[in-house]
Amino acid sequence: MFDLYLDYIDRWSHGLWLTASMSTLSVLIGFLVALPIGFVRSRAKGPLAWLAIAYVNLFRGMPLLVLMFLVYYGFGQFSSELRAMGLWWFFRDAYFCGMLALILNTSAYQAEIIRGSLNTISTSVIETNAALNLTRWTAFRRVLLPIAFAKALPPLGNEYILMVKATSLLAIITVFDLMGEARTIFSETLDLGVYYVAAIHYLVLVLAIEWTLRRVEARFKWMA
Amino acid sequence: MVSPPAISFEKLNKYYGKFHVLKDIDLEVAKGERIVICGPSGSGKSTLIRCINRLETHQSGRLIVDQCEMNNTPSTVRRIRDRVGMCFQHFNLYPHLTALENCTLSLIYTRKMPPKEAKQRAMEYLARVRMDGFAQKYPSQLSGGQQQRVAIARSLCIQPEVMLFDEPTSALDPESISEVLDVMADLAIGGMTMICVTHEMGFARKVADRVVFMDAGEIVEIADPETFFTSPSHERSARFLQQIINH
Ligand SMILES: Nc1ncnc2c1ncn2[C@@H]1O[C@H](COP(=O)(O)OP(=O)(O)OP(=O)(O)O)[C@@H](O)[C@H]1O
Ligand SMILES: [Mg+2]
Repeated sequence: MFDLYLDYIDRWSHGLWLTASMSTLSVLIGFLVALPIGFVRSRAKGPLAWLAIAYVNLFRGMPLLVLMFLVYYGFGQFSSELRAMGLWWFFRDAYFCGMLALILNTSAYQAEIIRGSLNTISTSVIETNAALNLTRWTAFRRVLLPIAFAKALPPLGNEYILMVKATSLLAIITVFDLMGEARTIFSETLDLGVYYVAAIHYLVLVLAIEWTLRRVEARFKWMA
Repeated sequence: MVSPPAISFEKLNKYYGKFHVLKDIDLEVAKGERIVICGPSGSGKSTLIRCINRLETHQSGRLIVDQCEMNNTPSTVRRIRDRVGMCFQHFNLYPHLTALENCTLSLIYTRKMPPKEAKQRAMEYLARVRMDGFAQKYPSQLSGGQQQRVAIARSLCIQPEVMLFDEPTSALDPESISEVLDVMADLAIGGMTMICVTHEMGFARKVADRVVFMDAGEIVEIADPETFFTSPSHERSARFLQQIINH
C-alpha cells in the first residue's frame, strides 16, 4: 500500500491539492453568497424573501451529483447559445462547472446557518444598538455580523468538512481531485488498496481542518 | 429665566394592542433633576422610560425631550437618542467587544470621532467609573457590577443630557450593587439629569429629588423621597412600601 502511495505521489499530491483548494474556495465563495441570502431570510419580507427561500430550497433540495450533471452536461446542450454569450469557456470546463455546483449547494446550506444564527441574536442586542444610535450599517457590520459569525462557526466548520467529502463527486464529472486520481490509479493497478490511500488522504485533510477550526474558535474567547 | 425642562410628558398614552400600559402620563423633569421611579412589577416603569429614547412608541399625547418633540421621523429619533443614555438591567454590553471598544463603538461610527480621540474620551469615562484598569477585558471576564459600570461609562461617552437607568442593580449581588450605586451617586453630584427605575430606597433617599410611584400604568404619586418613604399620601403607595420593607 505504501508503494501505491510512493509510486504515484505526484498524482496523489495533485488530487489532494485539488480537493483541498476546491472545497476551501467553494466554501469561502459560498459564504459570501450565503451572507446576503441568510440576512434576507432572517429579516426581510416580501418578494426578496421569497427569492431567497426559492434559492435555498432549490439548491438544498437537489442532490449535489444531480446539480453537477445539470451544470456540466445540462448546460452543454446549449453550447452554441453559451458560445454566443461568451460563456462557453466556463461551461465546457469540468473544474468551473464543478465549482459552480459546489458553490450553489454550499451557499444554500450556509445561508440557512447564517439565518439561524442571526435569528438567535437577542432583542436586547438590537435595543442596545438603537439606544446607542448606531446606524443600520454599523449595527450590522460591527455587532450583528460578528456575533452571528461566532455563533455560526461550529456549524459552518461542519459544513466545510462535509464539503471536503462531497467534492469526491467531482470525479464523476471528470475532475482529477483525490477521488478522480484514485480512480485512474486503480484502473492502472487494479489494486483496491488505492482506495485505502484515498481514504487516509481524506481523513488527514479533515483532521487538519478540524484542528484549524478549533484554533479559530478559540480566538473567540469572549464567547465564554 | 427658567430653563426649559429636560423631559416632559403630556397626557401620554400607550397601548400594547388593547392593553393600556401607560395612562395619561404627565411628568416634567427639570434639567439636573434626579427622579426615581418605583412601583410594582408590571406597572409600566420600564415602558415609561423606554418611551424617552423610543425603544417604545406611544400612541397619544406629547413627549418632549430636550426641547425636541418625539415623533416618527427617523431624524428626530436620532437627534433625541443622541442626547439620551440608557443603562439596562442586564448591562447589555456587546460580548464580542472589549470594555474600551464597547465605549468607542458609537463614538467612532455614529459620531464619526477619530479613533484616537474616541479612545481618549472612553478612557476618561472608564476612569470615572473606576474601570480604566479593565479597558482591554471582554464582558465575560468581568463581574456583573463591573459590567454595569462599563455600561454606564459607555452611555456617558456620548455626553448625554439625560441618563436613564432601568433597574441597574437588580441583577447584582449586594457588593456589586453598592459599587454601581456609588458611581450613580457620583453622577448625580456632577449634575446629570437622571431617571432611575429602582427599588433601592437608600439610593432614592440619598440622591433623588423626587420619587415617582407608578401602579397599573398610572402615576399615582410624586413626592420628595422623605415624604414618600415616611408618609405616602396614597394607600397604594403605602401598601407597596410595606411590601418592599417586608421583603
Ligand atoms: N411587548 C409587550 N407586549 C405586550 N405587553 C407587554 C409588552 N411589554 C410589556 N408588556 C406589559 O406591559 C406592562 C408593563 O410592563 P413594564 O415592563 O413596563 O413593567 P415594569 O413596571 O417595568 O415591571 P418590572 O418591575 O417587572 O420590570 C406589563 O403588564 C407587561 O406584561
Ligand atoms: Mg421593568
